[in-house]
Amino acid sequence: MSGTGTGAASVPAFTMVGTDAPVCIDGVCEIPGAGVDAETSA
Amino acid sequence: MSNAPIKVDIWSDVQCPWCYIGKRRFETAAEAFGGDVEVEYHSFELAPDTPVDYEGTPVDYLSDRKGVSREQAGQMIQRVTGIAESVGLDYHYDDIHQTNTVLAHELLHWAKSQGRQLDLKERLLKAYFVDGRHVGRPEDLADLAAEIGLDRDEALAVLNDHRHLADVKADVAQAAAYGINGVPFFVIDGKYGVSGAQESATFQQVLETVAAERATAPADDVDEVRA
Repeated sequence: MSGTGTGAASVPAFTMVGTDAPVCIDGVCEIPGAGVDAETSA
Repeated sequence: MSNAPIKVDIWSDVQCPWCYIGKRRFETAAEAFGGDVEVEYHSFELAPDTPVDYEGTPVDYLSDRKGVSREQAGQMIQRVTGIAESVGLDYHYDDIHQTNTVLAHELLHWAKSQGRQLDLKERLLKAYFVDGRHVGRPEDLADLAAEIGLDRDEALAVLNDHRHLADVKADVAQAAAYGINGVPFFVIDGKYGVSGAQESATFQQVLETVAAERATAPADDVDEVRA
């Protein structure tokens, strides 16, 4: 799973679980689905 | 039925506030689940272009990065601080040293080779969000490694040699290959993906689903055959 040495493994089809939840992307941390304020929320 | 622990691979960055919150929520879930779980952290650089010694505050950083006012950035930080508090984390954003985290990730790979990755991950997150420590410079990172009982001189050598930089880049490439563009991201038993700092109940549900699947799976693994 760590993918060391031989390059990245092919993309499996993960079964995604859970609802919208806070993530950090590109140095900015969002609160998805939390309303207007979410547009500018960390 | 497999007796192997449930493997949980977590892509995460040391400077990711949701990653620390998600870590706590996952840990709560794993404890409630009660079964054998093996966690491995993988490197993800949220902002690889950040300088080692960013000269502004976290409010400046977020305001610049997100293109919002400083007031709005301050409100965002207040919000995540409040949510961190709900899981027992006391974020001190006023003391945070925004930095580049590639060396922290290299050190985490070395800690993994020493069997101490989980301890170092916790130490680095606490250092960054709670203790106001710098986590981007070799000397500071070596100090933190020593605080959990790792060899300080060896830690410094590992960082100065960039002995694990290739491992960091491999993790980052793997994340891209998996389509992971935000953290925290959890891969459970190699097949379930969980994005973000979900509530503990969600993590617990996935662990219990995996356990139930194993309980009903055909007895075709080696352990079963040898028994």
